[in-house]
Amino acid sequence: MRYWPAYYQGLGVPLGRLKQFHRVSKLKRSHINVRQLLWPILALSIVYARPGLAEAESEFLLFPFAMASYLSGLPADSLLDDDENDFGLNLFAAIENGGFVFLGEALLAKEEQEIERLQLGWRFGDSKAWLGRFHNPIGYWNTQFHHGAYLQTSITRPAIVDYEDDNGVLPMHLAGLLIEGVKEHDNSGLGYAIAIATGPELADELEPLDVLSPTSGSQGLSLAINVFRQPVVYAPNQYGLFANYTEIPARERGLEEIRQTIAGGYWNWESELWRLIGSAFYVRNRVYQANDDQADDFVAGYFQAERSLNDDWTIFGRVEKTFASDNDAYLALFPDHAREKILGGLRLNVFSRHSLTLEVSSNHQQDGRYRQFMLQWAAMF
Amino acid sequence: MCLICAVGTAQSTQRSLLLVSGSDSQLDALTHAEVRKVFLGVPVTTGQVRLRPLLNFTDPLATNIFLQQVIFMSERKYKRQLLSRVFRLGDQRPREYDDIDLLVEDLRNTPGALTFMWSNQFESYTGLKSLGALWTSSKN
Repeated sequence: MRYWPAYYQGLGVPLGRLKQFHRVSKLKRSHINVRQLLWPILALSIVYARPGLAEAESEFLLFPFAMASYLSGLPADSLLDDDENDFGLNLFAAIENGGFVFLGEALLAKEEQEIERLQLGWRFGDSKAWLGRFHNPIGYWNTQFHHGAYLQTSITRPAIVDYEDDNGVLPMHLAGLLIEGVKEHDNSGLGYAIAIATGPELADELEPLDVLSPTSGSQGLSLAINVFRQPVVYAPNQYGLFANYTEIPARERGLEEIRQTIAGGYWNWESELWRLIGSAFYVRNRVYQANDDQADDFVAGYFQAERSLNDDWTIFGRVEKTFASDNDAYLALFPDHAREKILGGLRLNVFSRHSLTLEVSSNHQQDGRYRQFMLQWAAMF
Repeated sequence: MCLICAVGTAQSTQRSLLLVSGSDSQLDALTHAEVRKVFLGVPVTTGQVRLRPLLNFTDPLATNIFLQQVIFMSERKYKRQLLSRVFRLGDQRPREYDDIDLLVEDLRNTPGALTFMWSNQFESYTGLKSLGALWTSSKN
């Protein structure tokens, strides 16, 4: 069922029925059969086939979470539910043996079950080369915070870096080759990440390659680069620049293709009490239809400040804005994308590996505003 | 009595925090930058030996001095930075020890293992080798 509210409402489909289909369309494939597990099993076997099995080291981590959300002020024809809840578990594994590294991340949640990352890597010097599905190395947020809710101070991600299945407008997952590393020089570091991969296709939403069914979709070329400097090497502070080019097939949306170019910069600055994260994106999209094409561009950015009140309490706030024309053809494909958001929240660390977070936000979409109240428990084991 | 006390105070023992490995280790002295790199979870190999950092959490003062003087982070930020490397790069975190005897046993038996400990602790165990002082208290 295509998610296209105005079209189906024009056919007389009730709003409640549309909301039901909207929720169904967000569910990922949850039928993982044995044949589909052959790829991760093959990757693991390459790691363990190396001599010196006893030298293999591993990290296995679990990130459970539960989240409740209430939205107020929604437009009458919005497909968003005014209250949502979600719970689940993010599983992470990293196994290293003799220079080979296996990394996997899976999300098992009420609304979604998906292999988020599946990477086989090889370490050479201070760099690593990866094959598989990985986070697009654009900006700071997408490489620092993944699906483990406990690691991220705020509950939500900035809208410009929302995941594809959360109304995201940019590719957050790529599949292919990633090379990354940090070079030291005079106690500072110069880092890089280069990706030659496939990006998402645009159906109901941006859909990256499903690593368990790699031939099931239609993806196009994606090239990405991120270069950054760490004033003190391997320390948290860093600032950098990034660029990304992606060809996005969009036939299921009645379009030929979208060619997207992204460029931007970011920084992360921390002291013992403060953390400041910011990023700016320039995005240009050329939307190709059968007999026409249209090019539009927009600028988006966010700034988040966090202040530790003590070891347990952290207060945070974030502002985000997208500067785009009202008839931007690309953004019109994502009516739920929040073009402006201001939020504040409070996080409490409890029992050393648990957290409770409250977040309140004001969100401005293409056709309306709403407020959101969210409460989340997250942990790490 | 007060004069004796004053003299006793003036002769405070100088204390050193040492980088320590097993006595069979082929490692030579490492610079502070190299030690910091290893203990931040960055994989480092010297010769054919992978360096294995072991975190000595048996003495809070030693831990604090190590984090301040070598890592330049608080414990909270240090652990978060280690976790960040795990998730971004698949690197491994150093193993933590709150039992000094277990730490010493693993130091002796693990090729490439490194840790930090007080000089008086180091002298009370056999089978260990000092790779140099990471920090020395001022002589009073």
